[in-house]
This record gives sequence, C-alpha cells and structure tokens, in this order.
Amino acid sequence: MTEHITKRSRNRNGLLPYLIVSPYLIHLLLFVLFPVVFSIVLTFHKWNIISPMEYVGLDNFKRLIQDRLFWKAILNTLQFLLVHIPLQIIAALALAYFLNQKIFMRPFFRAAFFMPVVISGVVVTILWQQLYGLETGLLNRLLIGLGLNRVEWLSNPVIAMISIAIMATWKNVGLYVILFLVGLQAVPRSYYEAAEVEGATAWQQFRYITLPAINPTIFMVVILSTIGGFSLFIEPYIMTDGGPLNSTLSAMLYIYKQAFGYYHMGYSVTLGLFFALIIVAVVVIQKLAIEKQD
Amino acid sequence: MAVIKFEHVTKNFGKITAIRNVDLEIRDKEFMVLVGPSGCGKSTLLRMIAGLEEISAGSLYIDGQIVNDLPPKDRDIAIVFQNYALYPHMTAYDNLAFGLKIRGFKKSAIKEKVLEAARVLEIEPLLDRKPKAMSGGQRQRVAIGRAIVRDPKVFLFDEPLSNLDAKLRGQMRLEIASLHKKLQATIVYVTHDQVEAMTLGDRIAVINQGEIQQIDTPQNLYNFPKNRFVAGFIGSPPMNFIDGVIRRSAKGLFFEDSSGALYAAAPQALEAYTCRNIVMGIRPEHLHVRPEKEAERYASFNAEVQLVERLGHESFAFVRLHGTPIAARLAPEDAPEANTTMTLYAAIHRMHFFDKETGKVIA
Repeated sequence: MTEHITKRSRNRNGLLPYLIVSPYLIHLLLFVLFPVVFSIVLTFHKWNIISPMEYVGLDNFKRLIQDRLFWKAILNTLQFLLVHIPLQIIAALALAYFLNQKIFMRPFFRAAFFMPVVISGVVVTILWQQLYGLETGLLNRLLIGLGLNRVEWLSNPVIAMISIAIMATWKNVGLYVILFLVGLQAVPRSYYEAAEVEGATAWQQFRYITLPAINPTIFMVVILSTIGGFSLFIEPYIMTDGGPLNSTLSAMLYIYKQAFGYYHMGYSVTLGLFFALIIVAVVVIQKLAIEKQD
Repeated sequence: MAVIKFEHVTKNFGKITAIRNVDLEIRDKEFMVLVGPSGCGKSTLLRMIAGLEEISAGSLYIDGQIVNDLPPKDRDIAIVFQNYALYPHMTAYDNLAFGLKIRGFKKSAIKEKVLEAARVLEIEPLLDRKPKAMSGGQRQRVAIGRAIVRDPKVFLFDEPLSNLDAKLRGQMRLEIASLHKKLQATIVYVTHDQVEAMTLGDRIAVINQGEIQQIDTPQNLYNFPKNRFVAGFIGSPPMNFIDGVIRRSAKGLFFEDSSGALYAAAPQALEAYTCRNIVMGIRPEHLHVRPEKEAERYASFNAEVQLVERLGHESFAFVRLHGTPIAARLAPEDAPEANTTMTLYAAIHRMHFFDKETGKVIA
C-alpha cells in the first residue's frame, strides 16, 4: 500500500523537479556548455561571423606560437600583476590596519574606501583620465604647482602600465580591505595584550602576531587579485587602447581586439583558451607554493 | 619584593562604573585571590595591575612606586590569560622564548631559561609542538611557562582553569599552589570559583559590583563573613537565609522566623534589633538531624523534604520551612526520603545575623 502511494506520488511529481531546475539548466546549456563546446570547435576553424566557418586544422595554434604581439600582451599583463598585487596587498593591509583602530568617523571611512568597488569600471577609468591628463590632469598640475616636472602618466610606455596598475589598485582595494578587516578582527585581543606585557612594540606585534595570524587572508588576496588582474581590460581599453607602443596592451584586450576588431573569431577563441590555461597554471603554482609554506 | 597597593581606585567604562573606590594591599609573596560573580570587576582589577586597563581615578602602587601611567612591559609582571593566548603559529618553545627575544636576550640565555621553565612545569616533550597539537591542560602549562620564564615580580592569573575539565582543574590547582611555593613570588589570581579561591589563596578579596566586600583568610571568610553577600558567596551549597524578627522574653532575646516555626536564642548584641526584621543565616553543614554535642544548644524545626542529593560520602537535603528553601548537609545514613517531613537541629552558636536593609552582619 505504502509502496503504491510512493510510486504514485513520484509519478505525479514526475516533471515538477525538472521544471524547477529548468531555468538553471537552460542557462547552463545556453551560456556555459554551448560556448565551451563551440569554442573548442572554433579553435580549428577560421570564421569572421558572416562567411561560413572554414576548417584550418592546427593553424590557429601555429599562429599563436608565432604571434609576438600576443606574447607581449601576456608579458604586459604579468608586468601589471607585478605592480598591482604587491601594491594591492600593502595598500589594503595598511588601510585595514588603520580602519581597525579606534579612529574618528570609522564607519564613514570604511564605507568610503569601499565605494570605488561598486562604482562602474568605466566611470572610474574616465575619472582617472582626468587625474592622469598630461597638460590639464590634476596630478600634473599638482606636480607643477609643487615645482616638479610633470609625468607622462599614460603616454610614456614605461610608466603607462604602472599608472594603470595604480588605478586598478584604487578601484579594487576596498574589497581586499574588507577581507583583511575580517582577518584582523579574528585575531584575539589577548594575543596583543600578552605581547604588550612581554614588551613587544606596535611593529613587533604586527610582525610577529598580526602578520602570521592573517597569513591565510594574504594568500587569498594574492590568488583573488591574480585572477582579477589577469582579466585587466576596461582600464586600457578606455584609457589607452593598449598604447603607447602596445605597452598597455593586456592579454584580454588583445583577445578582444582579435575578435571584435578584426573578426578573427577562431583565432581569438584559441588565444582565450590558451590564456585560461595560463591563469589556471599560475593559480595552481601559487596554491602549491602556499601549501608548501604552510 | 613586590607589594601592590590600590588606593581609592575607580574605573569607569563610559557611564558605567566597573570599580568603585577600591583600597587593597597585596603583600609581598602573597597569593591573593580576587573572587566574585561574573561582571563584578575582578578581572578589571587584575588588568589594571597589568597595565592593560587605564585607571580612571586613584593610584596604583607597585613597591611604593605609582604605576598608573607605566606601560605594561615596565611593570615586571606576567599574566596568564583565561584562553591562554598562546600564539598559534609558534611552537611551545617559541611561545616561551618570545618575551625574552623581544627583550633582546642572547640565544643561549633564552634556551637556558626556556629549558629551565619547561623542566619546572614538566613540558619538555611539548616544546616542539604548536598549541593546536596540545590538550587544554598542556596549553595551560605552556601558558604558565611563558609567565615564569621571565622570572617577574608579580604573576597575574585571569581565570586560568576555567577552560579545563573538573578533574584537570583539581590537578592544576595543586600544581599552581606548589608553583607558588617554589617561585616565592606575589601572585594575584582571579576566579569565580570559590573552591579555587578557598584552596589557593593566602587571602581572598571578595568583590561584588565593583566594590570589595571583604578581604580575609579563607577560614575567616567562612567563619566570619562581614555581610550577607560574602556569607552567601563562600560555601557550597550556600548559606541558608531565614527572615524573622528579634523578640524579647523573660529568658532573654530570641529569634523567631517569619512563619513562627523556628525559635532560637539570640545573642545580646541584637538588643537594638528587638522587634525589628532581621535575617538569620545558617550554613547547610550546621544543620543536623539530632543534637550533635551535649554542651551545645540547638534550635529544632520541622521542614518538608523536597529533594535529596546523595553524593556517596554525604547527602544534601533540600527542604522548605514554610516556603523558605533550606539546604542541609547530612551524613549519608541520615538522608531523609523526599516528600516527607523531617526535624532539623540548627546549631545556635553557628548562626549569623544580618541587618535586613544593609545586609551587614550584626552578630
């Protein structure tokens, strides 16, 4: 009897579970699985969206290996990360440290430093264009006002990527400040009190207690900002279009240009997949390094 | 040498007064226990000695020197925290060595001192371990080791045993007592556990609501509590309190409880309280099922037995005297059955009398 009822109710429910998960299922098929499969197919084809796809075998991969501009874009991105990640960690940790003290208007400052995170990247970039302007930019006016030489923030190939890294740091720092704040607040006060009684200075307390205690947070920030940094796109796209002399051409920007600038869909997808592999490799290496240190 | 002296010390947290005008002198090499219920201010007093809490008013002296504004590191004290506060990323050795390293001791000197402290506390096998890999009792030992390694003038213990299980607590209690003998240092020990207070302290300061209620030896606190709070706090189960009045008869003064079921001769000192409400206190161990000694006088009364707890070596009878709950500590063979009526004999010379309004002891 009971078996009969269970069977019946199961039958009656038949389609309902599928109906409930169908929105997600459709999304998954349409926007995740299909693009992945289609991309892999595309890597073996030449396609400009309008004409039919043309099978080219491994040509796209051969081209990638010989594409010096792509390698430069990767190098540029790594250069960006080299400035961005340490800057991000130091700035976020310093801000979190001070925002964790009993300072005047603490809630206001905590909110203020988070603001750029929720502001659109386009808006932030346009804002910083005003700061970085060569003649009329606020920063250069300030420098000239102080009697110093102006800086070619965005027009000097050596400096431009650094300028972008500084801006990206400003934009994202609030997020990492929050992560660090959580980490700092998880350190029991008695650790500091014990250290204070032992005679440790504020710096020694930071060095021997705070830093080791928030180690896991630091590693998390490194990995998150690495992944975030690899997807550098909006800033150079709006500010410099990859210039000057391709010095701010990020990998993502180059892939985008291949796709929607030159309509090299097959090649662009090949670059994209290859770049994804690089990101995975870097993050795995970081993770292994962290685990080894632990 | 280390004498600690509080002089009219007050501590405010915003509008709340945590410590009110405290005077307390802790003698050299004394084991002083600060005891009281949660939130009474005992930990705040301890943290003031450590310099972790500012003093709002009054003066604190260590060896005659005012230390109100002296930073913790210059007070030559060590503190053992309730949660141990061992640094989780350091081994026991590094935890012990940390303070010495900070103070610029040489590596060889550090090693010597750490090993010596480890030997005293028998934690040598733990030195390579991090706190995560130790039991609660082992962490406790390492935390104490961190305190003794610097050989300070004063040791401060902030409820150090409250995170341990009952058996381990008893064992550590003995060890702390013997450590005090070995170290010959001044110890200030905060606890809410009266058993710890009674067994460890040379003297005990009972604190309630930011004020010191009484400072005395454990035995004196038990025998001569100054007020109702101390009487109720020291002793387990706590002292029984019975409301009543003092009356006069041809034979002299006597106490009559509010239900009229208990009469006891009262000392002459209660003369001024004649016909006034009063509270009589009697400890559970001073209630008996029969008169114990020929020479002593007892007041007998009937009470309804509500509950009996048998602990093997003794029993507690929880009875009611016309609504007033009363506990009696009895020999196991004297334990009554629940829901019966029994006669109890209260030792008259063991009674305490308190002013009903102020709670102060009268006689």
